[in-house]
Amino acid sequence: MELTIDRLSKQYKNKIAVDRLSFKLQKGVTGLLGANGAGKTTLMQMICGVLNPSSGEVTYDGMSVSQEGYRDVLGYLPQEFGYYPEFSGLDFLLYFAALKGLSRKEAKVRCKELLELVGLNDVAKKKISSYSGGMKRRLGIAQALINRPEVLILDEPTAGLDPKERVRFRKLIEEIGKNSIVLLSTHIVSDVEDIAERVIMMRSGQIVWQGAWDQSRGSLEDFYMKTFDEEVPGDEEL
Amino acid sequence: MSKSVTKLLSETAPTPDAARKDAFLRAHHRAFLSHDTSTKGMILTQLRFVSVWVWIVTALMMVLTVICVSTQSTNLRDMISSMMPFVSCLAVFQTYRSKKYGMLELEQATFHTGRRVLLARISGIGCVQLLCIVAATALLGFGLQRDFLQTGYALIIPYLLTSVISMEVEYRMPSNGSWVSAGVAVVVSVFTQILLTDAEMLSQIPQTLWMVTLLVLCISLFYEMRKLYVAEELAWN
Amino acid sequence: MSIEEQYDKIFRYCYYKVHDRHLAEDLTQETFLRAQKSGQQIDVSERYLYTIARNLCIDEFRRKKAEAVEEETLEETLPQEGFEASLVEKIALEQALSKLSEEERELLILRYVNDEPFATICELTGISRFAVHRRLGSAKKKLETILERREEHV
Repeated sequence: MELTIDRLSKQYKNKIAVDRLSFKLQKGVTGLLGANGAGKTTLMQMICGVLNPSSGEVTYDGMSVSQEGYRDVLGYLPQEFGYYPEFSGLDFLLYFAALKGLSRKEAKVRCKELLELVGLNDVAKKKISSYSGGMKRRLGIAQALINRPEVLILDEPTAGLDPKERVRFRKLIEEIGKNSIVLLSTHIVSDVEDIAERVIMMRSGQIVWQGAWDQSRGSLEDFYMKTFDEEVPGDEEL
Repeated sequence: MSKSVTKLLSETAPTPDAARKDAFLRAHHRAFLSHDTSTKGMILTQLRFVSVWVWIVTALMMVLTVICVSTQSTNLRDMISSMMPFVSCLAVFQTYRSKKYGMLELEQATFHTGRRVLLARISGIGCVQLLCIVAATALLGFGLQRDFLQTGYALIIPYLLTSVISMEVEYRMPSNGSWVSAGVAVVVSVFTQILLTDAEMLSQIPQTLWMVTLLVLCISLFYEMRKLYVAEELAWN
Repeated sequence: MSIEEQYDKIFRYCYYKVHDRHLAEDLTQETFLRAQKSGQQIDVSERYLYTIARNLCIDEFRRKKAEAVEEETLEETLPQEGFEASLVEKIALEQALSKLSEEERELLILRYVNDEPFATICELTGISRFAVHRRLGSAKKKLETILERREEHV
C-alpha cells in the first residue's frame, strides 16, 4: 500500500502551483499543512486524478491514477462541493454509492451506516439545502468513505465543524488510518497534531519540510510557525 | 404488553461499532469484493437518477400518439410535433446538471467517473426517446395513412434542432442556460406548429431539404456531444 | 445479502450469546476471518458463518465458565445515546431473555432479530422444523409472561 508522487508539477500561464514534488505515503495519517494558496488543493486534485499534472507522475502500488482500479480504492473530499438542489442527504450518498459501483442493496445499507457514523441519521431525509455548514462537511466525509477507500484524500475536512464534531472526526480518521493511507490538508494545526504520523509542510508549491511527527517533538504549531518564519530546510527524513 | 415481543426484540437489537466494523471490512475489502462495477449495472442505475419529468414527457408523447391515431386527429399530430422540442429540452437539462451544481469534482474521483456516467445517461435517455420517436412515426404513419418519411421528419427535426441549440446554449451559459434553452424550445415549438399548419408552404419545401437538414443536425449533435465530453475534462484547467 | 448486513447479523447473534459488545465484535470479526478459505476469498454463506460464530461462542462460554463469572453486568446492555425511552424496555427485555434457556434465546434471536428462514435455523441447531416451531412458540410465550409479570410489579 504505497502512494508514490514523483516530481509532480502543475504550471499555469504565469504561476507554478506545484513545483516538482516528490514523496511517498504509506498506511497512516499524513497531515498536509500550509497556508491558502500553498498548492495543497492542486496537489490533492492531481493525486485524485481530477487534475492533470504538467509533468511528473502519481502511482499507487504501481497503478497509474487514471486507472479504474485506483479510483475504486480512492475516497476524496474536496474543499467545496455542490449538490443537486432536490437532494436529501441520503439521496446524495446513494447517488455517489452508485457512482462508486455499489449495488442498490449494498448502497442502502452502507449509506444508512455512514449517516449514523457521521451523526446525520436524523436529518438524512431532509434536503441538503437545509443543512448547516458543518453538516454538509460531514456529509462530504461520509461520501468519501462509501467505498472503504485505501487512499483517503481530505481537503480541509474540518472547516466549519464545531469542537465536538472535530473530536469525533479525529477519532474516525485515526481508526481509518490504521488500515489506509490518509492525506489530510488543513491550516488548523491542532487538527492534525494528535493524529498525524507524518507531516508535510508546503509553501508556494514546494515542500518546505516533511517528516515523521510524534508528541516528543513538542508542539507542532510552534514548529510550523518557526519553519515558515525561518525557512529552515529541516530534516528530510522519509 | 404494550408492544409485541417480536417487535421489541427486533427493535432493541444492538448495532456494532461503525468505526471498528469499517476498519475491519476495509482491511479485508478485497476478500469481500461483491459490488457491481459492470457498465450495464451503472447505466441502469443512472437512468434511475434521471429526472422523472424526462420520462413523464416522453410517456405523454406516446400517449398522445395513441390518442391521435384512434381519433384520427391531424391537429393532435401537429401538436405532438410541437411537443418534441420540450421532450428534447428536458433531456438536455440532464447534461450539464453536474457542472452547474458543482458536483463535478466529486464525480471525477469515483469509479464510474462523471463523464462516463453522463454519457451513459444521455445515451440512455437518447435511445429511449429515439425509440419512441421511431415507434410514434410508425404508429402515426400506419394509423393516419401518411407518408412515413414526412411524419418522421416532423418529429425528429424539431427534436434534434432543439437538442443541438440547447446543448450549445448550456455549454456557453452554464448558469442561466436552462432558461434560454427553455425559451429555445418554445420558439422551435411555435415555429414547428406554424410550419405544419401551413399546408401550402409545407408542400413547397422539397424532400431533399428535410433530408439535408436531418443530416446537418445529426452531425451537429455529434459535435455537441463531443464538446460536452471534452468540457468535463477541461473543467479544471 | 451484503457483507455489511451479514456482519450486523453475526454481531447480533454473538451479542445475545455473550452479552458484551466488544467481545461480540471480536467474535464477529474472528468469524469472518475463519471463513476465509484458500485464495483469500471469504465464503460468506449464512449457514457457514453462523456455524463458525456458534462454535466460537461455545468456546467463549467454556473459557468464561472456567473463570467463574457469575453475574452479567448490565453496563454492556446500555444502548447508544438518544434512546432513553426504550432504555427501560431494552433492559427489561435483556433481563427477561436471561431467564430463558440458551436454546430458547438462540431460536428467538435467529427468527425475530435476524429474520432467518426456518431452513437455516433447523440446519444450524439440528432441530426438526416442527420442533423449531413448537419451541419458538413456547419461548415467545415464556418471554411474554416474564415481561407481563415484570410490568405488574412495576
